[in-house]
Amino acid sequence: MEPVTVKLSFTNLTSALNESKTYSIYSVGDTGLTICFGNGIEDEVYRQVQIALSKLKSNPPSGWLDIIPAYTSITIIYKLTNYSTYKVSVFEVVKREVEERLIESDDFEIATTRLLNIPICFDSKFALDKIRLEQFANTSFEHLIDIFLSQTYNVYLLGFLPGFPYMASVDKQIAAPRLASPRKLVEAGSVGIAGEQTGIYPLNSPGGWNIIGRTPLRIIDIESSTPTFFQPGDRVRFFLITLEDFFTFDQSQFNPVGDGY
Amino acid sequence: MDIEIIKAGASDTFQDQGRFGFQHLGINPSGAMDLVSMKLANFLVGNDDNEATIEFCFPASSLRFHTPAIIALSGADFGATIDGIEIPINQVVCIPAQSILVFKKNKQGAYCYLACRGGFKLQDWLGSASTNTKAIAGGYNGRSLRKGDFISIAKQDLRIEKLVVLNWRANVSDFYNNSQTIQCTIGNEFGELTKKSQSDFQRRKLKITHQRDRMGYLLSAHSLQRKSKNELLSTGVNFGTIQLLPSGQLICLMADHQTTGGYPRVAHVLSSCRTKLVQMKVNQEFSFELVSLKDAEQTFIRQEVNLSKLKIACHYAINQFTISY
Repeated sequence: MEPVTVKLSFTNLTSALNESKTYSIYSVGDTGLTICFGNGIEDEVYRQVQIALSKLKSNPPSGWLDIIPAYTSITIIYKLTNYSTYKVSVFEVVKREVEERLIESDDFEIATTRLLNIPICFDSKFALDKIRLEQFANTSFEHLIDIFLSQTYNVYLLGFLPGFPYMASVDKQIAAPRLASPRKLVEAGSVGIAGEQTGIYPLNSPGGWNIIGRTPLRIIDIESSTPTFFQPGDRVRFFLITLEDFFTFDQSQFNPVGDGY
Repeated sequence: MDIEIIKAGASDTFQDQGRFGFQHLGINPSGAMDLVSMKLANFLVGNDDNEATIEFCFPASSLRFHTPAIIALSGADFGATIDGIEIPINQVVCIPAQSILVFKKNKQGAYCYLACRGGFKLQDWLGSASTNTKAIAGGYNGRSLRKGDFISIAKQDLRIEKLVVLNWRANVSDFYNNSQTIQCTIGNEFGELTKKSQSDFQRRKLKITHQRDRMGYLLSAHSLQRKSKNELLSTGVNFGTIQLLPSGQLICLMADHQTTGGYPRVAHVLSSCRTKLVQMKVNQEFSFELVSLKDAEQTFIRQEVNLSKLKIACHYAINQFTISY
């Protein structure tokens, strides 16, 4: 009766796959695929992406080069020459590898997310878009700061620049759109708002986000084996510091890991 | 202190196959624009696939070799000369100490690769010697080469008295077919184009513009329309991803592409067509052709098989030479 058993378990696998499947998979060229979980910046989608990410990262096949999370998706870049298939395409094989990993129970242990407390100075020396933000939110800068500090942000992804965290969600009242034309230079540490996203510039760079303040924290260190301060999946709260605190800040004495408020 | 940059080029950097495994941290992979030529240059001098090479674009740097060296150039032909004598690409060249390498003329292609037998001595960053100019890391101090830079090469016991060009050549014709099409696979947002733009995508001729660099090539004469103007959330992209800009223009992402992008991904250039596209000249005309994923994969695997045959042949030839030398 051996063949029957095999057949049954295969059917179970397929039906379980169909029931729990809340994602779609499509190719990104001949060396990549994206697993898409939704279309909006939402807590539930974020949760699904984080769960899937820990499953995929825990035991990746040797042909996978990169596992890149974004707001609602995860993209895998793979090495074609690591696969040898005859009947089906390599894409189908990698897709199967993904599905096999995602089918594991959702009780799967997610790496505990870190809650990071990040200092920010709102001195007008740093808050380059103070007036623009005030006009958008139709409120005082002090009130705007309160709104900004009241949220806990999720680090959805890192991108744009090495170590640049894309965080959400910024309160709609202060969610000003990007500048019409980007600045030629935004200094490292600048904290910006672009719609419901907030981010921190790791390096001096051109940039079009509304700059609300600056952190003295250095968020990229190329000498380190973990070169970026943030990781996808981190949670972030900002706390206000004065201009004096900013200039006397000592990163070596700073512990950003909090246990929540 | 074996090689001295005596004149800076426009933007010459060290590149190997790239730095993977860190894109989730926003660290773009970098790596050679034309991986085939980068590898070929290495194969010719007997190096392994992933040894770092200098990637030149035109106008390119001028170099003085303070030590004898066995070198090879591949990819673009920039009219390389050693002490005024023209040397070919895709051949092994033995040069004596105090030789000066000057690139005189932008004859063909866009990126030229210099490999040195034994390899250059560089500090890896996160497992790769590729230059990441954004992070200012990898390669030579994380930046393009400047006048006065000194580079070391792995110690070779060479006695080369005069310039010698060895008499075999790597046949690269497999990697640049003459057709005017660049093949791609369909992108997830192709369906967002209007019906007319969908058919225009494959029918119309387009050109490489002057706005081209290691991040991307902007393509001209191709104004495509989307059915809606809604903004997309940033999602992963790949080397070769063709994005539609709000202006209706297309941009093809290259080796220094950002790790994610928010523009519609219309299509993706085949891995096997990257060499051809990368080496195209400004204003060169071509058109896109959509092919199946399976065809894309098989073409690439065929190309890799051809490359590994060349590797065996090149290594055999150079080893025979250095034994008898």
